[in-house]
Formats: sequence, structure tokens, C-alpha cells
Amino acid sequence: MTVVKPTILVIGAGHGGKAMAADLAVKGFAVRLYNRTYTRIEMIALRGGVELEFEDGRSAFGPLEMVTSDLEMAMEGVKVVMVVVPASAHAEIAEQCAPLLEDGQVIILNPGRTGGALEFRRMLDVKGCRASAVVAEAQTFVLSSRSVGPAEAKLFRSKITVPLAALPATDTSKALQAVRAAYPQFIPARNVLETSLDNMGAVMHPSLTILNAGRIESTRGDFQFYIDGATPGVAMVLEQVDAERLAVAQAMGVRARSALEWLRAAYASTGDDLFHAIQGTPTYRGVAAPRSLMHRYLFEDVPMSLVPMATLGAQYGAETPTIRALVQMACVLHGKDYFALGRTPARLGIAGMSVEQLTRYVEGK
Amino acid sequence: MTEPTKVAIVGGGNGAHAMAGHLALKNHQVRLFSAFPDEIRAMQEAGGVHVQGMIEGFGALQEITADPAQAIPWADVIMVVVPAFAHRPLTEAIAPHLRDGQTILLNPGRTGGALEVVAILKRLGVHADVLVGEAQTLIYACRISGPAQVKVLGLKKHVPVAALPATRTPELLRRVVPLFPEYREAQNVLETSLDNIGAVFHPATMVLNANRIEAGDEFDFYRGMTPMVARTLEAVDTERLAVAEAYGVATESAADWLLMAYEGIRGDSLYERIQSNQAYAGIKAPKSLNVRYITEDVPTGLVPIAAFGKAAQVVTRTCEGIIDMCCTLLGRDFWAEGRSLENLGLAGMDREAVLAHVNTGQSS
Repeated sequence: MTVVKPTILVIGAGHGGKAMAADLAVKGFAVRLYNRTYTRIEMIALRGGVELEFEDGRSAFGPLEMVTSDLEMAMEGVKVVMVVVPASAHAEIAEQCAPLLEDGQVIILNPGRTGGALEFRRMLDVKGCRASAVVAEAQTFVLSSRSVGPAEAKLFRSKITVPLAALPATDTSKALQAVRAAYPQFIPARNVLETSLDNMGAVMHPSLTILNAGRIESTRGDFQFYIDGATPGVAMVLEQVDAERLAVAQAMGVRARSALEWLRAAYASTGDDLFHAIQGTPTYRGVAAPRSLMHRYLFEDVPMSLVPMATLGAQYGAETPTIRALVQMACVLHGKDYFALGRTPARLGIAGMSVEQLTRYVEGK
Repeated sequence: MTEPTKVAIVGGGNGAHAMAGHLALKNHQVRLFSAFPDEIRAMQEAGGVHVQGMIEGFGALQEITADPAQAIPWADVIMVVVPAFAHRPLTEAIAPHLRDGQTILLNPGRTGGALEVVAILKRLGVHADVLVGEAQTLIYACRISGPAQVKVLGLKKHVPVAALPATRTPELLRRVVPLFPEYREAQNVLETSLDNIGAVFHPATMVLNANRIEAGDEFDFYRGMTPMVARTLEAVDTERLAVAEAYGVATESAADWLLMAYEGIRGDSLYERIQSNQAYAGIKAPKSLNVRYITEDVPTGLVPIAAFGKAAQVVTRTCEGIIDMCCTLLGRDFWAEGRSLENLGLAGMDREAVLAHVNTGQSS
């Protein structure tokens, strides 16, 4: 029996999107690549695909069926839509997809950060989308990759398992089935609250960036972000953010994983606390700090991860003083009101819901 | 020559050495009390302090003691010259020895020093009529240069002081100007308290450089005030100025303070002005987070600034964020330890009540 390989649309041609489009094409899928700004994909269109380099030095060309900045054309007839854009663009993508979605299409946010699928679904509802489509989010990006040229991407190892959940969770099996041939690494999460709250970037990125702000600015990020950046006091802040995240999850009836548990499971880290576990994570060796404070570790992770955690905490009765302090520091550093720009229960379509109502909503039961 | 005054110096650090020696050289009668026997041993052996630099000579002290009973009841003026986080334990230590007619002046009070001291005396049931005031800054730039020896590098021309309540500031000046003609009348203790530039510069720079400091990275502290760090300092300063304005107190911005306090400052932004300040060159960043830039400037700087803001309904979100980060970094609750409205004796007061308390001592 031959496996029918569905046509897959990748939305977003950044570091992740280019690599995913090429990876899927190399694996033999029919792949389309959409990017809002055509100049970012012009070279890919001219070459007809993306050159993919592997860690061992080999490379392969991933030919693309379509490279376009016309979303209507891109969406037509595809089975799977892989959204690979910063979470701050999810709402806008949802708004544009709403009139174009077809019955049976599967949308996967790679990743959703905190509340991606909820925000996406709410925007489809607000825009009156009636199509029976599946909306799902991955807990993290399935590949480790980097853009290395206008039509070139480099693929490091892909992750072993990545939890994924649809909204509602009764759709999760449909989403997994649709992408099983492409990424067998996806495994079912209980529901989108689990994928949203198991957001380790939220724990690591803003704290490390803010507590290393002077060093990042004065050295242009010339140090190892995790290994050098997480000194004992800094790690205490990470522990505190993590504890607040777990408290928010608990208040919402979700059993989240601690950062320490996650490091041990994902990277076989050693150590009894976050400081020692980070030092004992070989994968973190050589990972450089951002070159500037204008980085997605703040402008994405603060409004799309920390703000929803803080505001969900407020709705469900969990205190988040350290998370709020980090958000405030980021507001000042960037001169932006991330509390206003970020994801709140209202933007996620769950304002005022009790834990029971919320659970019913995400479980679909 | 003015009449000699009986002065008790409370403290044993740089400032206490300088002030004790200097006042003795001005022919006042000086005793010194420190809670730490180690820091006064050399002075006890020498019988006083050798002062060098802008002031020269040996200042003989009448008594150098770790027992408050030997210095406090005797004194007419008690000059407290310690880090502000020590105001509370030292007030508790001297409280049983106070008597009518004495003056306590905090050099300096940081933010809310006089209010905290008065609140503690009230809590301890001290009924003696003691006049409490605070100076906006320490008169000296100085450092201990050897055993029983201090070098005075600079002497400020004007130091604002205020009593609590402000109606008693003229009386305070009559008592302390004979010691230092540099003392000037401030509007009230809110003026001396809210002019706290250290609270603006230090904690935020520590937080945003927490990692380098912990790692023991050697760098000039002001180099840690990078453009975005300076933007954070400006946000803290803007909140401080808003609090001051709410209470009708005139304060300068940190950027303008640099122009006034130092020579050769250039540029318009706070960042440019900090980077152009030659006086900052060579001042190394601390190698630990557990230093006065946090342990003093947070509980007796940012916490009371936020507290005054709260009473006047002025938003101080950036100050609060930095306080919260410092709590987590050091594993301490500076909100509870620090000068909250409760600890300042201002619990439940709004702006008008705070103003009445500091200006006249009457509740509105």
C-alpha cells in the first residue's frame, strides 16, 4: 500500500519555515511556501526550492510546488497548513485564513507558544469562519534549523518527540494523522492547555535576556547564552518563573512539567536544580546569546508567553510577581506596553470561563 | 568660635570616621558608638581619628564604645552615619538611652529615614522629646585609609536637611548648623528622601547586569549602563519624579543632577551623560549581588519610593518590577523588610495625610 503524501503549505519563510519546507520537500511531499513579503522568498521562487544542508555536511535540494505571497492561491486544496511564524503573527494569519479555510484542512502552529491555538480559533470564530478545519499547536518547533542564505537552510537534529494538541482535543488524532507521515515525532498532548503551559522558552528566554542585558549590549552577545548566562542568582529567577508557571497550570487544572523535569527528559541533563541542570546540558554548550536586546526572546516570548501566563494566573487565582516583573522590565527596555499587546484571556476567547468551562472547551467534551 | 557641642557619632565606617575626626578637629566634644567592636578597635587604641586629605589633623574622641549607654545619654546631638538598612537596629539600640532635648540627624536618611526612626521610637514607646531629622546626602566623599585613619576626598558645599515634622526644621538648623554651616533647610523630609539618585542608578543596573556581577566579570559599573539599561534608569527616574511632583516637592531629574554634580558632562540623554562622566571611570562593578547597591538601595530607596507613590496613587511599575527581581535574586522579601507605608508609620494614609504628617505632624 502506498502512503498518499498530502500537499503541505508552509506559512512563513524565516529560519524555521524555510528549513521545514525544504525538509518536507526532500522527504517527497508536495510543498508550497507562503510568505507575506515576496522579496523574502524571491530567490526561492527563482530557484524553485530551498537548498538544505545537513549537520554531516551533505546537502539536498527541496523543490517546492509553489512559492507565493498570495495566500488564497497557497491555501487552495492543501491538506495541511504548517504555520511557522512568530506567535505575535498568529492572530493576523488566522484573520487572513478565515475566509479561505476549507473543510478538512489541518492547521498546525509550530509552535503555539502560550495560547496559540486558542487565539487562532477565536479569531476564526470572530471572522465567522464556518469551515470544519482542525486547529492544533505543537509544544515546540520540531526541527533545529537556521537560515544560512536567501534560499538555503541548515538542519541540525530534529527533536525526538514533540507534544501536539488540537482545539478541541477530540481533533488531536485528526491532526496527528494528517502529519504522521511527515513528522512521526509528534505525539498527543492531553489538550492545548498542556502544550501552552509547557512553554520552556517562557521560563528561559526573557529571564536570561533581561538579567544579561548589560552583557548582551556591551559584548553584542559574545557569550554562551545558557552556560555562561545562568549564574546561581539568575537561575533562582528561572526557578521562580518556573514555580509561578506551574502554579498557573495547577490553578487551571493542568499538570505541567517543571523545567528541571523537562531538561532531564529532553536533554538528559544532570543536576538537582536548574543552575546545575543547565550547566549539565551538553546541548546548551556553544549556544550563543542574542546579539541585541531587540530579539524574539523578548518581543515574542514576553507578549506571547509571559503575558498570557500572568493574565491567566490573574483569572484563575495564581500569583505571578516575578513573571510580571520581567514583563515590566521588557516593556521598559523596548518602550512597548506588552501587557496591552500580549495574549490575555479575552484574546484567547476564554475570559471569565471557570476551570470547568475551560476544560470542557479545550477537551471538546 | 562657637560653643562646643556634645556630639555622639553613631557608626564606624568611612563616614563615621570622617565626621568624628572632623568635628573633634572643630573643637566639639565627640563620642562615638558603633555596634561592631571590630570596626572601632583601632580608633580605641589611637584615642581618635587621623584625618587626611581636604582636612588634616588628629581628632581626639572622648569615648569610643560599643555600649550605647556610654555615648547616647550624654550627647546633645546624635549624628547617625551608617548605611540606611542599619537605621532600624541602631534606633532600637539607642532608644532606651534617649532623653528630652536631644537631636538625631541621619547622615543621610536615604528615602524615609526620619519617618522610619520616628515610627520605631513611637512603636517602642519612647516619650522623650527627641528632634529627628535627615540629611539628603553625606557631607563627605571619604574612605578609610588605614587603622584609625580616614581620607577626605571631597566636602559638599550644601547639604539639605529637614526635620520631622517640617515645622521643626528651623529648630533643627539652630542645633546642627553650629556643627556644619553647610546644612540648608529643605522643604520637608519628602524632599530629602525623594532626591535619592542612588536608588535610580544602582538596583536597576545591578538587575540588568546580574549575571556578569555574579560571574565576577571585571567591568566599570557605569559601562554596565548600556543604552537600554539607561532607558530603564530613565523609567525609574520618571516614576521617582512623578512621586515627588505628586507631593509638591522640587527634585531634579537624574540627568540634570549629573550636570550639577560633576564637571565635563556632555550629551542630552541620560546614557550620554553617564558615559561622559570621567568621575565614574574606574569604579568597578561589585562581584556579588549581595551588596549595598541592592541591600540598601532597594529596601530604603525603591521600596519607600513605591510606597509614597502608592499613597498618592502614582504608578511605579518599573520600581516595583526591579524590587521584585531583587527579592528573587537575593531570596529576600524587601517589600516586608523595607520601608513600606507601615514601616514608615504611614499605614492607611493618602497623599494629604502623608503631607500633613511630614509638614506639621498633625493628622489631616
